[in-house]
Amino acid sequence: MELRKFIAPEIVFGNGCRKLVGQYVKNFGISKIMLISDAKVSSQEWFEDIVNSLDEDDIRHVMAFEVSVNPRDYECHQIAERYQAEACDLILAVGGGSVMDCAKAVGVLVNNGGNIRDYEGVDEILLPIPPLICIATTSGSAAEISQFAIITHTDENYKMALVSKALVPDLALLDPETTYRVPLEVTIDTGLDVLAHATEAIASNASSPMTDLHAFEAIKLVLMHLQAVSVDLGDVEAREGMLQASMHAGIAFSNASLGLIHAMAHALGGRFDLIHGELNGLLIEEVVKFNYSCAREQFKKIETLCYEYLDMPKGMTLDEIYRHFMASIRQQRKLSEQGVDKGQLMDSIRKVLEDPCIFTNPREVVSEDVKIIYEKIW
Amino acid sequence: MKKYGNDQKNEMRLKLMGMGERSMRKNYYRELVERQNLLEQKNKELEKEIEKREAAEIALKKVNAELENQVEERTKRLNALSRLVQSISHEINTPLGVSVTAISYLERLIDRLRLILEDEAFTAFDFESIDRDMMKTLTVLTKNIYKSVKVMEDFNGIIDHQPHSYPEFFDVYEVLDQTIKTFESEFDIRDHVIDLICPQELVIKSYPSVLGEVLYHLMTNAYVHGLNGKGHIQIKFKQENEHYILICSDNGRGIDASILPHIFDPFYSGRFGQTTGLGLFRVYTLVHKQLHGSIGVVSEVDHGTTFTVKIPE
Repeated sequence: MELRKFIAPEIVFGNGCRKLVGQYVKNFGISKIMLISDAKVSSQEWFEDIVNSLDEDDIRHVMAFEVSVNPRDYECHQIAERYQAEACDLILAVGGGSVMDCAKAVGVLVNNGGNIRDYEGVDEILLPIPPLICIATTSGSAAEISQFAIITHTDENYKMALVSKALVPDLALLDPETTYRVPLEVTIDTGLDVLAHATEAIASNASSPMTDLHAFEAIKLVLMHLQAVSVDLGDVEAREGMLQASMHAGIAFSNASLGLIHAMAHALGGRFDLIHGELNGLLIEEVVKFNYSCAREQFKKIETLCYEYLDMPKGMTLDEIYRHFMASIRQQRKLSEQGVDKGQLMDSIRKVLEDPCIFTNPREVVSEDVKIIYEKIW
Repeated sequence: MKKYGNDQKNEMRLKLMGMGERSMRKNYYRELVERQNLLEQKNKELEKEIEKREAAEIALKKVNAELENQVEERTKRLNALSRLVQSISHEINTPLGVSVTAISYLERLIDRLRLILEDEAFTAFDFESIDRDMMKTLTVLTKNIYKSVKVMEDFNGIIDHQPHSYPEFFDVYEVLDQTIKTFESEFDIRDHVIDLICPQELVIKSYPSVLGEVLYHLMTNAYVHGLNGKGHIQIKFKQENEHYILICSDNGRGIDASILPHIFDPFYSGRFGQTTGLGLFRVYTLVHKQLHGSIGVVSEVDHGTTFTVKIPE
């Protein structure tokens, strides 16, 4: 086995662990924090518990809720300025991937200065960010686990990937109770993201037994729980199962990186402001087909796993299995149905090939390949 | 478009696997500590700057206060000067006004005289009455002209002179004693006692006539305004800290606090009409301009007055 590094934050998993946040902030020896979230999350009833926990430990908090669904570069700057003006010492992110990615970017700016665009790429961050605690509310982008942060470049309209060990949070509080109220569409979108994460981590040319361990576990849990939760949003076992899946997938891809699915999702999502999870779902089938020849062994293992947990006709390849699986959950929308202009679609091919995620795709990608896949999903 | 060669692709892959240089770095702690030290240093420098600025501010305030003082002094002096000019013009206006009236009356009298002389039937009686009137008017005219002259003389006497002469050596005791004797010969001092405390055979270099005049005016002031009943004037002279000190104190009525600031003003008289009000002003001018010294006064109603003149050696 070649040299590998393994990174993960401190993780606390379980119902009600969000109430530990005050104690943890105190453990850091900090008395003033910036709380980044969004309007939807902060209006949930369980959000109160977090604020109460902070108040009980006399921790002053400054709130910033102005984060978009796909966080913009200027939003990060605005919040970073507030952080410095208020002299905060820690960032607490409560929300989905957008909130947590924005929080990471704020951390980068606060200690490194400059423009967030300067930090695009892999290993470009010099100084560590301030202490970062993440409470995930979706299952999920796993931003609370991973070394990735995705920020939209608002001039060129694509999603910048920032990848660095510096972006791994200090603490991830995974509290299934925070996911109970996630609406149906979002539940499915984020669930598909988990599937994509796990699949790409397995297919990655930087994968290893350490990451595969988690990736396969993630796929298993998705197969077990995604359909159940989409049928009954109140199924607490399924909710917990999906959160576990998200965590495992996050651990896996944080250390093995991703592939073509995410490279394309970043390019398209930034350009057309599409929903990441849904886009992944749309791409996964075609990309698996494309990569198959270069990831045969790994994909066969996944196929075996799928047949253990899904009731399906025999002899299907992974891409077919996934199509079958996703269809059983909801009907996909093609790009044309999401309002994407075909002409503009082709402009984003360049960005796909520049995304860091492409470097660990099992198969070499050229622009023609991207074009073909675009046609198929449009 | 970014094109990655195989080496670069490999490098990217390694970075994604966590082998990037920055990811492997742990020395950021050192950097953070250094940054902190730099900040602390800057802080200390800032504090020093603030101290300097505060000291400068205090110095500035001091200078300001001094300047304000000087301005006040100047204003006072200008005011005194304008009051002086006003007083003079007032003093002169009256006698001059009377003189003008007298002259016009004289003119009328002369006209009457002419008429009488033209009339061949004039009598000695007619002539006498006009003559009387004319003499009376002339007297009034003369008196008033002289009064005006006196005012100007007095005025001249108190404004800036060329210094009398060069300073000379003299025996202090003798000069002061002589002044006192002159004073005693001019004023009735039977009910009063005048003391002189002064080292004998002390020879100093100064202006003897000026010193004498100063003492004379001070004593006059004490006699006219202060003493009542059994009065006591004490005159002391001594040498101290490279200065000569002349003290003239009395045990008389004292000066009320409200008029104390004005006693050195020209034409300021405690007894209206009876004195010129110029005595102390003369003293002030002599002490400051001729002797280059200063004069101070301490007084309390019914408890006497003390003038202290301090002149440099």
